[in-house]
Amino acid sequence: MQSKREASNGGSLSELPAEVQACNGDMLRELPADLEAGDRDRLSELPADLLLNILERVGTLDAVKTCILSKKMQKLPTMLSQIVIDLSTDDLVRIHTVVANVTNKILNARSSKITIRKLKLKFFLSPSHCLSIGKCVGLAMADQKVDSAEFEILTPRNGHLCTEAYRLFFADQFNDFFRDCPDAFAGLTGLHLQYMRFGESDITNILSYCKQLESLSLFMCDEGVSSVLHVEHARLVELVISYCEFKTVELTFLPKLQRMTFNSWPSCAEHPLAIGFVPELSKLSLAKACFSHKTLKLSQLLANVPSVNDLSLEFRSEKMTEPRSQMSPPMPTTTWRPPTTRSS
Amino acid sequence: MATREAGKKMIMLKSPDGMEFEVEEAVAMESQTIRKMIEDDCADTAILIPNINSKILSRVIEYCNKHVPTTGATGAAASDTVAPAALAEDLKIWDAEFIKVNRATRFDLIQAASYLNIKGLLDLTSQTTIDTISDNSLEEIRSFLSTKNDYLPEEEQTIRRENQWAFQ
Repeated sequence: MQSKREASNGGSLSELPAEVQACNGDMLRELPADLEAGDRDRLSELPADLLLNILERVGTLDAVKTCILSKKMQKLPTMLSQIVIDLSTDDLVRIHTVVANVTNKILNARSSKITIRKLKLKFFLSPSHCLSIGKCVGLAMADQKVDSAEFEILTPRNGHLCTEAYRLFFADQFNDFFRDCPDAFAGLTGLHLQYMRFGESDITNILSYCKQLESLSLFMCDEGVSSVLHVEHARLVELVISYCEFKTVELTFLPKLQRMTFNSWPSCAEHPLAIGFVPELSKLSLAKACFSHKTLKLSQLLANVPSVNDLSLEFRSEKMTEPRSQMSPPMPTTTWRPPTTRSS
Repeated sequence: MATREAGKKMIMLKSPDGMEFEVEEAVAMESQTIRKMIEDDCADTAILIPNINSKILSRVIEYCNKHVPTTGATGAAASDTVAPAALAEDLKIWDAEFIKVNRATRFDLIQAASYLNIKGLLDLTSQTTIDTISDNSLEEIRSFLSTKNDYLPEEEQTIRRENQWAFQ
């Protein structure tokens, strides 16, 4: 057995260790005939659809890596109907160019007959890579059916290191990306942005152009200190606004909006949230961790949205009035975490 | 031949190596492929299951027997007395034992689960492969799956150059 295995290992890529390693003691009961069979390459022998079924359950980079193992599987990534490259930030820092390269390889060599059920890419805001990703995603959208496409764009600087100058710069870079890749953004269903200080009505423009958008998340993004954001969109289902400097976020016209998460608005804001036409809004989550002098009138806030049936509140040191008694029925289920660390 | 035994409808499954397995219809219908055959009335006599030998087929039936919902006449007593959570926990333990097989058997089971369209079994049998592929190095994946390297030396060089990230 041993010599046979050595003989089969020609290439330097394949230094197969003993088969025995993969088996526990009780699995070896069918030796030796079964060992022989188990030593055969079984993965690449599986029919393509089954292989794809398995490969779509792992991240796309892992799938691509596995397909590198043999010539037979090399073409498989172009047949994946689910492309998810969602690396941890550390990994992304290490191999950030891979996102654009692999996405290009998969999308460019692909048959337009294979629908993309899900495309989810997380990448750094770097002009050349963004352009490369945006172009090939745009082409795929023009050419193939794409059910869902999501971009999560990370800025190369974040946290307290991301000064206002950087946020203005990142917003400019994003606007260039947005202008250069209209096809990709026109078909995008999910967009996550962070650390961008846009100019007036930039976000409104983005929303009116990304007509397919169903989910938008903004973290530390705004249109300047104390700006007002009017959100209007025919398809948006989920909106997350966290640590943004808007004086007011007005949900003007969002007929499909079901879920809204609103975290940490500026302490000076009189009316951080204004709710307009949101007939489908059922889940509303409000959280604020730092102290402010303003009182949030929940009954007023929720007067327009009887559809909310899941309200979650997390206020560490916020004043709040009339949480329940004056709400119009039906009463939403409320999870309310009371102040735990009130400053003295 | 479909027969009746104590009120339960039975189905005969035949493997290509000539073995016959008589199973309850409800158990056989854990397979969406067989369910469709039965619903389309194509299953009057024994159903031949191509490409799945008796050793694998018997294991598949063992799985379906365990996983058939216990809400029917047969399992009413069990589901009345055992909490659903405990039942799920029991199934999980049973699954973990069931999947302690060698690689060849596991790949045969993957193919059988795919052909017979038994989602739970496919999830279970492909999980080891998925765990192996996820977050492991190329060499670890290769050795675990024992996928043969069929590249010529110059092809291999190109692959390495074009996919450096995968070899890190």
